[in-house]
Amino acid sequence: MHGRLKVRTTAEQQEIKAKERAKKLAVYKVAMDRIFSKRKSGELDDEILKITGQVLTENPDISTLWNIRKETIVKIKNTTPDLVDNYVSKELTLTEQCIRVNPKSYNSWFHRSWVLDKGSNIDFQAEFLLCDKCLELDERNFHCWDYRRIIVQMSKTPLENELQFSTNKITKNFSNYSSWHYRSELLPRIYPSSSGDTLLDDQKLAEECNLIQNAIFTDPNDQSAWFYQRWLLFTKKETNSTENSGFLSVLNDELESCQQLRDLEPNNKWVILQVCELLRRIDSLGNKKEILQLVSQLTKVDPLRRGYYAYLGSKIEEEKQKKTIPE
Amino acid sequence: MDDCKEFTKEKHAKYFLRCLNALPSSLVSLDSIRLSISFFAISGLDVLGRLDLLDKHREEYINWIYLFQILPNQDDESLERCGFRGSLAATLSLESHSPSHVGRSVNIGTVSSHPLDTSHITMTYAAINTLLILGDDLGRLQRKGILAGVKALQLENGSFAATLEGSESDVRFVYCACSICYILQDWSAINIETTTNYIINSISYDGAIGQDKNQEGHAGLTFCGIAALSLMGTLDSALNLKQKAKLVRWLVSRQQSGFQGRPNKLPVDTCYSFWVPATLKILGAHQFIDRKRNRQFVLDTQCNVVGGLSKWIDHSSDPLHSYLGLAGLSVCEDTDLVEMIHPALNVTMRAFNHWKKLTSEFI
Repeated sequence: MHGRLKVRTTAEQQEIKAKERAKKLAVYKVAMDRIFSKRKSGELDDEILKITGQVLTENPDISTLWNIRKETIVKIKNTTPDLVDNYVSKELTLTEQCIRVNPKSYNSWFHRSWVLDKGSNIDFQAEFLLCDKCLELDERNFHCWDYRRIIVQMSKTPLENELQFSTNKITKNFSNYSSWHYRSELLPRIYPSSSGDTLLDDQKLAEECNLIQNAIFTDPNDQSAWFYQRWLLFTKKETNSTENSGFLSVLNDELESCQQLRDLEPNNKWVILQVCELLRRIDSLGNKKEILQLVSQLTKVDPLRRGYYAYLGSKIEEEKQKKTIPE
Repeated sequence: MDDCKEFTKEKHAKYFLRCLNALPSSLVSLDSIRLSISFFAISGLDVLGRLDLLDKHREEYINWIYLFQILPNQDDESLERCGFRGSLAATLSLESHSPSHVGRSVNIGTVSSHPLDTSHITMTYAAINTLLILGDDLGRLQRKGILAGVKALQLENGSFAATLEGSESDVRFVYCACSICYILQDWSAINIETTTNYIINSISYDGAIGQDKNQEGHAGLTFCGIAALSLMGTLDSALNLKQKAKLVRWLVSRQQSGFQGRPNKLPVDTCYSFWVPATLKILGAHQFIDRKRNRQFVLDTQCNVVGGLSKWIDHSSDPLHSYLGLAGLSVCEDTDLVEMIHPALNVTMRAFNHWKKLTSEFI
């Protein structure tokens, strides 16, 4: 259900609409009857594809009709395999039309990915183009991102290419949670840590920290950068490696940057929160006084979450170890 | 709470009643999932404390829902097709009289099943919940068939598809499967271990749960995952304290006035007023919500003329957002307005207590 703006219509307009709807209903009923009678008698043919296609173009959310089309394609693949590519191409056209009508239709995207598997000659360039177009219209369309993952796998596209794709997206617009998310999936696979102790290969981790810092300084109010930075900095195996001086120096560097940002944006809750978290991980006991002051500040600048900060404060009060790995 | 809009309870009750009779043409895409719409409307009336408005036709509604059940044939073959359909619009054989409007049918017949009929897991979930809300004793449920149907939909990786013919498989249908098994008090049909692992594997880098592995964290899907773990009894073994704390932080950050479904997605959407608080409640962290702000927002989405709640302020109301907005107020314990709800099962505590009574009689 997608938001529909309220619009006033005159009685006359309403009558015209009622007549149009009655006509549509009659056509719809005839079509559905024909589809189901044909299916019942096993007539999975061009005609059933034609009629289901007509209905789906108006309403892509009837999953039963998509499944009837799947049954028909499977039958064609089994009986006349030479013709299947032609039909696959028609399915791609239909699903693209439906995706235009409703870019968030589970059925349309699923059917498209299902159909890819049935053809022998898929033009993956065209598939990537479709993804690019959809993401340009809505960068957060997770159906499209998921579809992209599927075509990457099927086309055996190197993951480095996809990393570059996400870098391009992010450089154009740092505020792109879905692109950062994509990187979180790609990076550990392309550049795994050699020690197994950290998230990524050390050099890559440093580069990525640099990239995210740019994002943060560009727009310190953007949530995506902060969540991503937390993941980069604070995801470590549960060892006592807070003794790791290399890692400590990374944290101290980040703290310095954050403090610089805090001078520019003293009331930015994300900055204050991050300074807090860095101080905790560097030396939670030694920094306790400052941390608690920051938590108190958070309650003022972000009153919506004052309950949560109060809880955080009480947890910090209780911490007795010098260095903890808190959450 | 003074600076909130007035709560027009009676208008919303009338809105749900109207939904049960006819829907506007703008919602035609919902035709194939009528059973889920009836769940929103009927549970909506229950949350408003106005289920009494259905008293006259209660038996008819119950019978109507049972019409959607796919029955096993005499030899119990193809039990895995069993469960509930979403609508009678896509049925192959209608040998009994089929009512298209709830409340008009007096024929308590059944719709016989055709070998090509199969159920949809979300509709099975919606049907069972709605029957429970209406006070039915679930006596006409084909338990063996329903469980066979659920079992047939589980994949090797622990996820669930929605129908036998195939569909996407993800955490939404995992939740439906778990809710069904919980209410039927029978977990033999599903592999709890692989289901739990599937949910764990769908956790994104930020601690939230996505639709599937590799997908972005999303509040609605996070609810599905956490509620499913809670119903299976594996929440505490699946997520350690750190993971729970990380998720709580992510969820708490979703509140802007009402709640958003993912970071940076605005404007806030009424349905997340249920998904986020309900998940926090299951995690024991709902006290971190600013109830007043959420209440203000939800009441702002009320539609003056037709009743119901809309997804965004000044948009048309629809059954899903009307229901979830009210359910959200319930999770936030605005009990001066609405009845209390069970956060994982998404039915009122009254309906849940009815289920408890039924279950104790069963055992």
